[in-house]
Amino acid sequence: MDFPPPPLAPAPNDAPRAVQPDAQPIDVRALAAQLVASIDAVVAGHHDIAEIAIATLFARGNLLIEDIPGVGKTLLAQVIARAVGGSFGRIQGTPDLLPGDVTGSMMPITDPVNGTRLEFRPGPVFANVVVFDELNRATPRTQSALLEAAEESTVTVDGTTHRLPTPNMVVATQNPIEIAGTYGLGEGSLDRFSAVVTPGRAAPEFELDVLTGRRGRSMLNAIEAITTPAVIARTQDEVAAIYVADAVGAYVVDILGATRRHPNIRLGASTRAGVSLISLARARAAMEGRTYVVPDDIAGLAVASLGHRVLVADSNGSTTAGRDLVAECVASVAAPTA
Amino acid sequence: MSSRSHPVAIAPGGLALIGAWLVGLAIVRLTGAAAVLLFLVAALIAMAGSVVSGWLRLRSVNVTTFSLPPTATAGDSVDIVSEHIDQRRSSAPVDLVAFDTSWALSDVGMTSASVVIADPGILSSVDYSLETAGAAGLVRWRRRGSAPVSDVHVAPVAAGPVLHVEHAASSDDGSTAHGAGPKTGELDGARPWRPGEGEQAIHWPSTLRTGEIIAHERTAASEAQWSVSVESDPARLRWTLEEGRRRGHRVIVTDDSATESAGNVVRTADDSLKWSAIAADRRGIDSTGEAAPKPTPWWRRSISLVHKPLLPAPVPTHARLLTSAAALIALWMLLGALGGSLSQRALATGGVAVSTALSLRISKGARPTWTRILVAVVAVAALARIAVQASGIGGLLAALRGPMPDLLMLLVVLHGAEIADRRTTRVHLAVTGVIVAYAAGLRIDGRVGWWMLAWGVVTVAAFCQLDTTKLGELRRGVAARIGAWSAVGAMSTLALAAFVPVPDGPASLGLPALSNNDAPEAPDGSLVGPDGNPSPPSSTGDPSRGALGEVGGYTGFSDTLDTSVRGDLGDEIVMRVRAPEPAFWRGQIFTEFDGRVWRVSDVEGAPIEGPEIAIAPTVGDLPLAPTPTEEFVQTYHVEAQLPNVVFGAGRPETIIFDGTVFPRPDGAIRADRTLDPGTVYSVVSQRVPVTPTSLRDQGDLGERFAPFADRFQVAQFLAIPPSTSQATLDLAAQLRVEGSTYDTIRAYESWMARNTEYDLNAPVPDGDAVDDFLFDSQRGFCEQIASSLVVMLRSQGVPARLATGYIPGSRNQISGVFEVRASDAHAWVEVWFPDSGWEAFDPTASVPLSGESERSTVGADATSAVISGIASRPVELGLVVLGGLAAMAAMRGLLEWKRRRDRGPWGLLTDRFLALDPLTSTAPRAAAVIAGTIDTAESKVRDPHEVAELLDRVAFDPSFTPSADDQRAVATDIAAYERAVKQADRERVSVS
Repeated sequence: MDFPPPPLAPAPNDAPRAVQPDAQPIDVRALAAQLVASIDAVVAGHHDIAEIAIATLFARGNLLIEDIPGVGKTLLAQVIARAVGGSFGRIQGTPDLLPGDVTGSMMPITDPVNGTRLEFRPGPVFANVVVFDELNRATPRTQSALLEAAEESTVTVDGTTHRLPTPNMVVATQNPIEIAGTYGLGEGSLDRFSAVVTPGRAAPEFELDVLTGRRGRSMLNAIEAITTPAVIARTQDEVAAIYVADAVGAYVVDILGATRRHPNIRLGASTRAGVSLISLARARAAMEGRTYVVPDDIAGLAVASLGHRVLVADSNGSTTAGRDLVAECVASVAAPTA
Repeated sequence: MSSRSHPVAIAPGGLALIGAWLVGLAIVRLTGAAAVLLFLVAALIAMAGSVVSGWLRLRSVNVTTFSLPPTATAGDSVDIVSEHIDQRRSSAPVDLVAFDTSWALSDVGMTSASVVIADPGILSSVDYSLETAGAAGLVRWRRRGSAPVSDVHVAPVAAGPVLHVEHAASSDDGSTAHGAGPKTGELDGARPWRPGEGEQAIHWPSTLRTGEIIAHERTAASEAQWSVSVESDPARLRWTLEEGRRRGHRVIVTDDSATESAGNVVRTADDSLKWSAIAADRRGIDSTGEAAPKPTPWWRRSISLVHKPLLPAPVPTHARLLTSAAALIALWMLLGALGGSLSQRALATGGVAVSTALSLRISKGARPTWTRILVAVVAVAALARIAVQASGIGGLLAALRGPMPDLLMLLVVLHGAEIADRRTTRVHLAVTGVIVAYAAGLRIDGRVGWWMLAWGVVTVAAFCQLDTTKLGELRRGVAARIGAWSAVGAMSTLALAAFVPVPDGPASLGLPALSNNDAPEAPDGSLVGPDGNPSPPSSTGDPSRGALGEVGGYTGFSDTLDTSVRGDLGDEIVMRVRAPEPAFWRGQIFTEFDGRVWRVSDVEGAPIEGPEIAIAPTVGDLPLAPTPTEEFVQTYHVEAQLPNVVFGAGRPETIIFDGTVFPRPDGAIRADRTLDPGTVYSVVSQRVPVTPTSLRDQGDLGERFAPFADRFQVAQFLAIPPSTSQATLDLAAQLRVEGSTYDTIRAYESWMARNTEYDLNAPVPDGDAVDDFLFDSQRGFCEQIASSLVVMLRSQGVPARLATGYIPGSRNQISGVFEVRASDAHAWVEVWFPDSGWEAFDPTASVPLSGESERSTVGADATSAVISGIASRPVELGLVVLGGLAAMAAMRGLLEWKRRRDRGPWGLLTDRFLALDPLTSTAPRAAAVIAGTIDTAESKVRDPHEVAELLDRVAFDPSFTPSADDQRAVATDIAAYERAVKQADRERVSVS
């Protein structure tokens, strides 16, 4: 297992959330551009995926990268962690992985003063960016332990509640093609991911860059921390304050309704899906330097945000059916205008 | 590149229209109704327009390019994308057929479909055909074409066995020797299974684990090289190349015709596919070296009578509703013609509504059993009712009025419930067309034209909506097009109808007769007034004016006619006469005159029972010379209370009357009952066509009749009342034209026209009515005028008598019937011409001679009806048209104002911006498309992205308040984009 050393001291999370009155407003647009640029420098040819990833980060969401092996899923997760500059936890999903391996557990500690006692030893989830590789290879028990921790930002062990550091983002990867020995994520688990992206193979010229070392893992070490977790946390606060017009909200409601009425969708998108879509749209608006959400934000993010949340009636094993149907639904709803 | 359009098929159900049209023709023959003929002409024009519409529609569409994947396997489906230009955005769908697959072109200029390419080879162009039936969808037109595509390699499905190959092997040390194939090596891992490998190759454990078929990878001890000639069987070539790769060899295709063969190494499956396609292509060229056969010209191609659509053709709901409206109009028209009761109308309406609802359910796929049971029960019950009704039917018209409408109603309602597709809809519309023609043949009122117009508009609309899947929005262009088409259709209808003569009366087969059995009877054939009482003699001795005041109470319809009594006649329509030409509708004939009162003889005719009654000729009816005669058929629809006088034109030969008639020896005909409203009878008359020349040629009748003047048959028509004054005789002798009685009559008439005056309020004569009129008062009405003419002619030895009846009345030019009013009652003179029989003359009313009148055409009638309609009320009509236009403009303005108010200035700008690219829904995306279409630097306009952002800010940024300058600037920018996009579109069209 590829466990990184857990952070020795969990970040004291309560204090830095208070924004100093004299703090300069954050230029979200520039910050996002820098973050996306550093992803682009490493992960070749997936600018749009990079934008969605950063939007997920700003929207306090979790990202699931779903693709065939070897297209840079893990690399994408790692570069986000590096660029953000916070702590980084990595978990490799295996069937024998236990919830305690993820969240941390009470360990006997012996020291000369106090003797042996049980002390909470935080798991890899106590990091600003948590990369969970091969999520569907872990058992459902472990999956839900991780996702609940991510959702609630707390871990409770032995009656003690431990707060996760802020910001906290789970970037999970999974291979949808290989199904032997995997535990498919249930609808409830999938619903906890703000966005699912499928980068796919890069174009030949980018592939050449990777092979010759101009991009790819070899460049990972060159990435320096652009910002700090504290700045990301403040950015997240600012993003949450982006204005959403009622018309835009109604547009999302219409799209959700369309997924619920579509004949080929057995179960439409949930309300949580709508909330998460709005959050992502806010992040995208902020990343473009706007203080308001426009319908194009919704239309551009709906597939990534809703594609995994609909249950396709007759998918015949297609992994893209949900995304295609959501795209159809979005196209069928008229966008609001002035 | 494309060929000419040519018709290929008639739409399903289209033949029913042709059948209905022919039935309409039969109805014209049967009823002689000009309205039906006009209807048929209009239908013909509409059908012709519908045939042409497909051709016109096809002209506006052009396919520009096809996109296909570069490789394909014959027999497998591939995705094809077609791009087209539609210069006229019409709701009429156009189908594109290529590779034996048909798909409808989308609105947006790009359509994708899945096709199967059957033949292997290299495809450098796509042969396609465009098909459409146009808006009305009656005849399907096709235009073939061919569009170039970048080469598509289509390979056959690989098939063994392996071709003969040249083996070359290189051993581990790199030297090459001609070896006998590779040695099987050791296991070297796993790889995906390749099609064609045996089951020995499968690695079962990993196959089970992954769910995919995994095969062993084995090392080759030495690398072998296969080289295959391209000149081989394509399917086996592909198989061989694949097999070589499967075995891990270096595979080379040798091409003898190519100069360079080094690069022909097959590396991927696509390579082997391409080589196989090349091989197939060469074979294809070798086998069919000759040029493609010349296409047959369109006129030599056969047109399929029925187009079988590839897809099921459901009926759009709005087309279904229009069809029901057409059926309802037809049924109401029919019931109106047959005097249907209110309950019948309600029943028809309800039936159509229920059947519409049922058929809508059926077309939605739901076929509940109860609907079929309901339909069956209704059908059986209605048929039983009709059977009961039909058992008591006597005559034809009774059948037409009783069970017939019920049967037709049942047919329409039941068929309406079964409408599921476009074929049945067209058949249904054709059936309603037959009903409209039938009703128009029976209807004699003036509203028949409006009913037909309403049905026509609704039916054309239904036809036009049948093929479209969506309700076409009524844009400005569409409305103008509809208007133009309607105008052209109306013009051509009138123009064509101008060549169609008015039908020559009803055919004898279909002559209706109907009378009221409860009407007051006159069993002995004596004259009975409208009230059923024997009419009192109009001569009362009292010199005062008699005022009968009744509608049918003309004094001429009694046994005596006092020239001093004039009935007070109203303006009501007393009867409608369907006849091809105008004529006097004669009722009574008077021979005896005492200078003041005309009398009929007491001799009544012998009764003859109907319905078909042959009338024997009376004195003077049989022409002496063998003159050709013609049949003149009239049908009388009585609309008011009339006495038992049977009217007829010329010499009635046959009368179709539901009852008994008494033909009098003087030629008048009486019935055994009074004629009530609703009575219908027909008269077939014999007429001798005469012209002034033919009458003049008969010479001086006084001289010709002189030898027989003492015989009673002639003498009764020569008797002059003793009170006749000498002045009258002198005048008659003085005006006489030697050698020609016809000219003598004309001379008398013109003298009277010069010296006397027609006056309904003429003073009542004291003594001799003729003398009084000619010399004393010199004012009189028709009885006095006609009496004077008779007396003057008799004094010159010319047999003459007085006839009363009605003048033709005004002809309704749409329904083609003469509307006879009470005030049309008249008295005129009949003169016995020995060669042609009794001829009517009238100094006051102008009725043409039977040989003179030129038969009008349907078109001329309709045109004059329209023109007189406009001319009689130009101001009102203009006001109505103006009012209509103003209302339409107001409606449009109101909607536009509402839209503007709802959308606001920025909403309107956003709409215009988004309309620049109809596929996008948000402003930034539209901006991206616009930026790709136009060159902002060249046309010096703002970047569309900026405009899009501004539009979004206005809508969604609460902190932003746009200024008027912003709005102006954006409006200017959008206008510039609109110009640029239009320009780009034009360039694209002209390039293609």
